[in-house]
Amino acid sequence: MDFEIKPLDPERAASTSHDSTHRQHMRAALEMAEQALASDEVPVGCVFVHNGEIIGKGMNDTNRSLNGTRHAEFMAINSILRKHQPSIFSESDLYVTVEPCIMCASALRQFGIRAVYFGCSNDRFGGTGGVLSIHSDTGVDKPFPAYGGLFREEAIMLLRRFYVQENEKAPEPKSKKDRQLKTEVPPLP
Amino acid sequence: MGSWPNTQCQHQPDRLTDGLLESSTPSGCLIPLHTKAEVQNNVQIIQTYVATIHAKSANTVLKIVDDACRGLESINLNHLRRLVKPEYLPVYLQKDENKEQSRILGRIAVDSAGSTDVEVASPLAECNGQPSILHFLACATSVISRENLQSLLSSALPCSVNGLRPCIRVIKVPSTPPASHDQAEQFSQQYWPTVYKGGNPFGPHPSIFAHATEEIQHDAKDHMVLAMHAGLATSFEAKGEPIGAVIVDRSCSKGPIIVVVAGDARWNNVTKPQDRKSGNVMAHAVMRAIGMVAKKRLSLTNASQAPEMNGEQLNSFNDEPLNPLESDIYTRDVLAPGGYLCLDLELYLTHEPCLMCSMAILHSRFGRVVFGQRLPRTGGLTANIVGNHDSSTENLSSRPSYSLWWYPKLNWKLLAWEWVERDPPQASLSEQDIQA
Ligand SMILES: [Zn+2]
Ligand SMILES: [Zn+2]
Repeated sequence: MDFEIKPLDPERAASTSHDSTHRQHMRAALEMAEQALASDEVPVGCVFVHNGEIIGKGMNDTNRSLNGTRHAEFMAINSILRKHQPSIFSESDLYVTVEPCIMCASALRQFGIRAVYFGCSNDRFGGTGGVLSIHSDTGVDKPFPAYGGLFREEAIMLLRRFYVQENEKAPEPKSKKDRQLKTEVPPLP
Repeated sequence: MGSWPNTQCQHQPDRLTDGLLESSTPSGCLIPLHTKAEVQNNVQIIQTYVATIHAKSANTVLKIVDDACRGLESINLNHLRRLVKPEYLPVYLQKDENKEQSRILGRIAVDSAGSTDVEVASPLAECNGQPSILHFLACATSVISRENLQSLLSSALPCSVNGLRPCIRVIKVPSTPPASHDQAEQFSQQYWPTVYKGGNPFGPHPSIFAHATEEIQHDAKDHMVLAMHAGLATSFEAKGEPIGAVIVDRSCSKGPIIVVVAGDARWNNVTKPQDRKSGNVMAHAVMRAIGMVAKKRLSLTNASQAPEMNGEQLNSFNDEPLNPLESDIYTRDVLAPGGYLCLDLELYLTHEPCLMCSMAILHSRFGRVVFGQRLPRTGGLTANIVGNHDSSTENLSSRPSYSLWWYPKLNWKLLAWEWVERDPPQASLSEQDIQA
């Protein structure tokens, strides 16, 4: 896969205290991705941060739920909305290990997210530059800034481990139908 | 274009939908959507030589010219007729056939020969009225020079009357093949006789669309009515906007089966702000309907459980029924085990889905989607902004059109139709900024 590095916002990255905060939050997101990997889900994790505090965590859940829309972002939003009104997102930032897909990017924009920080790009479904630029296109909802490249290698390594793990699990030749399905399943959210 | 459907309800009676049909029966037709590439109409136009030749020498000329062009810049002209009888020329070229024009053409034709003022120089003029004339589409002007073509033709035309040189003119033709019979017809009139050889470089093959339209048009109306009622049901309880979704399984030989219905629930358990913001975006009708299919599938894998309905636990996905209409369908045991996401299922929507929902439709592997009202300011399926060009629409003229149902870079494609009502309702959401 071809991932490209997008620099973090230089202004924010320049400040070391900011930088360490970003890294700290992305580490929390990577932990969620590890958990996803452990439960045989595509390893993508995320955290939402409000006033410096993590208000919700999510990991990809599409395989368990049999629902192709249960991406890490949605899982976290679901838990946040149990306690908060949707307006909280306009004062919150998202840290996610892989660039949000088109679906999630549109959801985040409709929720009014303040900013998105992601690890590696998503050149199959990416909605913040990977395939489309839902975050900045002309539209009725307020655009949001998206910054990529934070712990990019770690995010990619998790994905690689997932594919190795999946291949090792399936040493038996699969039926043709299964094989076809496998290639159709999006490896990324 | 879809035809007006048979208004008879063809599938088995259903106490739920039948009741609804009595109360409200909009009628309309299915219009296949166009892809972004189709709408942009990326037709490449190139310049080509057309020569007037004698029918008898046509095959020789064709061979000589094609041999000479072989190995040079390859431009595919397979969709264009090479030899055309005068009566099949497009009207704009036929006009050239009157004497006035052919005199001019004759002059052009002999210009390269250095002589002028040859009124009868054109074979066209000379042979006017005779059936032995053909118009020969030689090659693109970028391939060989006019002089080269002229000498090629001369060598092939021993019968070029009285030593006169064949008339060559330059016309514009589409170098991209037509995407449909309609487009071939348009090319034939606008440029040069064109053949549609099947296929569609910019979207699904028209015959695939035609077949699918045929399959769904008899009951599409019923599903659209049900979707409308699903939206009304949640909005009536102030849980959401009047936007609804219906998922249908057509794989069963008995006919289409309704799998789930869901209304929008963005205001459910959410304090509705004064400014009517987005609410709980995850509770759009499409997302709820997809969630319900997944839960039904889950209950099939854990055979002990019926679809669980524990409304006590706050679930922001809202992927459980919220009213009797939804739960009536939800509790029906109609999904075959072993299914995958929403593969091969059909989705009927009152409104064009937003970008989030459009991508959710792709992630879920739907096969077909039909929506009612276009939402040019927020929708993710249509390829162009149409409708009244009031100032509010102008503001979004720079909004990209997405047509996600057939987006080349994405790994899933489906068929999409717009359901156009004969008598559109007065009040509509299309001028608003609402995301469906
Ligand atoms: Zn996503
Ligand atoms: Zn939506």
